[in-house]
Amino acid sequence: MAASGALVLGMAGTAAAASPALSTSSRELSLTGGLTTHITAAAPTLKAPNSVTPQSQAASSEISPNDDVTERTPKVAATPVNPPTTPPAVSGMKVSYGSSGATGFNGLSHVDSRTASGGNQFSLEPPDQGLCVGNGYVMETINDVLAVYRPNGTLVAGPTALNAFLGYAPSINRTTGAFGQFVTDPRCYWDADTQRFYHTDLTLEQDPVTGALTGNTHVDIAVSQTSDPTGAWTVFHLDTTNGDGTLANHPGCPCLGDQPLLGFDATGLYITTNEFSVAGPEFNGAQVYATSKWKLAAAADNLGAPGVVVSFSGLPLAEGIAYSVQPADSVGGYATGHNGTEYFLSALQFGPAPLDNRIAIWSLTGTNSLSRLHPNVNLQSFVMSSETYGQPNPAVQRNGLLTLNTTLTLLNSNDDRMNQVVYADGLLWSGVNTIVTTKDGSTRVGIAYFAVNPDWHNGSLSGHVQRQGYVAVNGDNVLFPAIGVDASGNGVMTFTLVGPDYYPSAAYIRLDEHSTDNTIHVIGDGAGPADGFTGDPAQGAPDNVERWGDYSAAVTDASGHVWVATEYIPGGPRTALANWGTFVARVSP
Amino acid sequence: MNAIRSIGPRIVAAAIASLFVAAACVAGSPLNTILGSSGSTLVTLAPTASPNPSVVPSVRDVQPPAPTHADAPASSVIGHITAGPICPVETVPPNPSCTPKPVAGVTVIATDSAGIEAGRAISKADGSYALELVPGRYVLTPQPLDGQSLRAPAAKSVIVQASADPLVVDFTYDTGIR
Repeated sequence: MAASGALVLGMAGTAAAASPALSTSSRELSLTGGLTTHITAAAPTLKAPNSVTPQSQAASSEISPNDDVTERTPKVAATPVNPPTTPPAVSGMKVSYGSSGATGFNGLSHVDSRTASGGNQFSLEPPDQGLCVGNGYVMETINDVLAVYRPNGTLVAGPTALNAFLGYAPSINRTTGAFGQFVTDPRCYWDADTQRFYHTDLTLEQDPVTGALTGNTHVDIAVSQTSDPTGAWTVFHLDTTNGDGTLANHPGCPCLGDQPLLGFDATGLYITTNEFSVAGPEFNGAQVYATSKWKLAAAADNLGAPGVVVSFSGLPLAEGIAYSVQPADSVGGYATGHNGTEYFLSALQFGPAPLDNRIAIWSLTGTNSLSRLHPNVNLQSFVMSSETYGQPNPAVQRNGLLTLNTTLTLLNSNDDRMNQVVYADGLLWSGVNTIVTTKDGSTRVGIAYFAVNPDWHNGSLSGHVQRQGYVAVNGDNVLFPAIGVDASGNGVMTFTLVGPDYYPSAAYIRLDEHSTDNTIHVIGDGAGPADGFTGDPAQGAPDNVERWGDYSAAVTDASGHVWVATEYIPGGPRTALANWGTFVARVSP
Repeated sequence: MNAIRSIGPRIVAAAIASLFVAAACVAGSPLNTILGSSGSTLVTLAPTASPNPSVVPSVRDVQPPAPTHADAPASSVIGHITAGPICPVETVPPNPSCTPKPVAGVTVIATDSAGIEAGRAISKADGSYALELVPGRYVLTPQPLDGQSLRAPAAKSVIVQASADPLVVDFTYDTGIR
């Protein structure tokens, strides 16, 4: 039932043979926009006490030796004739409230989001965690607000509504009732090479009178004009209304590019989306976009036009269509073989089977050509065996005082898509939410993680899982992992810990290329149960399942510390409709 | 079988199966409240004679009008099949474009406590379905949709009692939009 071997999915700039199967297309697109904008300056305030000393964030773009160009004998790809039928059974880990080598502060919250822009915002769930760290700044972005801190937690800019940051009208004008743009799925990244911050999001245009979606959608790419995120930014737009920006030739379009995922290598900026019909619910699979980060940074400084954007769509994978193809960020050196390579990972859990034991590695080669007028890049994928993972159930949480809901809600663990990917010391790290059976027999949410070693043979991509394992707590849940790794392969995974024994808490665990700690550290202790409107039957949640996540963030700074951010329940001020917040921490891997 | 395929730049033709439009009704008798069993979602549903006026319409419950007594004979299990989320985040007030969409062609199978199929229904164009069952304990299982990315929801256990009021059991398929 599984595809095996490298699958050459498409090329841009050269002709390629036709496939009898699903049709893949590649096109060259252009970015539009160029609006200059700012994050609102903030009076310096300390968000929460901590002991972090501001770090020197000097630019560091060490390029490692070209270690992936050596071609190796490919491993045999996974072809599970009999897919797994039993969820993984895991023993669980210890939980500690001691967090040596880590410190942090309360990040943005629902209150910050709802009250930004003079309150001309919607109440939103879930937050969708973005975090980037560089040049002495920590920038956090969530639905629908962003802020900039110093590493000790001092707020230096924001909270600023994303609509205001992007130069849009408020999402809802509480006085006139006028609707602005619907902005969501934010992420950000500090690129030490170009010395710029990058911020991405998905924007859906709305009718200003009715709020109905017009069908026009775009991914916004904001680039700081200097290395200071509190200064000016330039905003570009990538049209996702029809995936590749051409006429209406994608099924069900106009479409939205859901959950834009962000990656970087030495040359390029990479965004992938899941293309869904705005009218719903058609799904056209993952779209892959690539452009030169150097040209984009120069364009942000008004030093020329942004480069062409190469797009790929209609990407088959095994017996299904690719989704959530996560592009990698790099730490300590890029994959420089094959004229520049950007790697991606994705999961293969296609319904209706609830479990799978394969993941896929992807490569976009020739990325050094992205600055050319007509880039010559090549996309491949390879399916490999992995540990079993599968669709998780909603997560139970510890009972406690509720303000909005009358019944304790469950937290939506979404699905088992691939989360943030980082390339470090030759390995690609990531993890997925998965159903697990813990030692006490409970069915819970755990995390399956992977460290993948890319392999090459005669120009064909392959790979194998070099390290894998599960993170779980007996009788409780861990969900929405994000892994940050230093240049030596020492990593930190953050996630939310929640269950009958825990309110939703921010937690992390250390892992490296050889082992994983057996102790989970709670760094943001949940103050109560999640109690938001998306779990409220009166708001249309008959099953009491509350939105959570949808993703966490982890990034390594120039000093080798891993910064993490994830959703939890902080206590303190809340609104009538939600009580979620985020916790930002710096951890020594 | 390290087969390598090359696919040239062409217009996309992602295979999205179209939805069926079908209807089905089964004969049966009264029904009523709930309870659950292991291995399926436990729900507690009150007999529903008419929409609860105190429930505020929202993202997920603004659907075609609920069936009335005239639509559904006594002891029916009725409900709607929808797909959601339609938008990546949920808001208050809900965006009118983000209301979950009805899904036609979904087969809902009712099995009794012995695991024997007791009835099945297929959702109509508006997502509605109706089953008639003799009083007893059942598991309602919405079936996966072939050729679509929609993820089927978990089965629900119900207890059907003799009653003049239909038991309302809704299901939402997951679009994957986040």
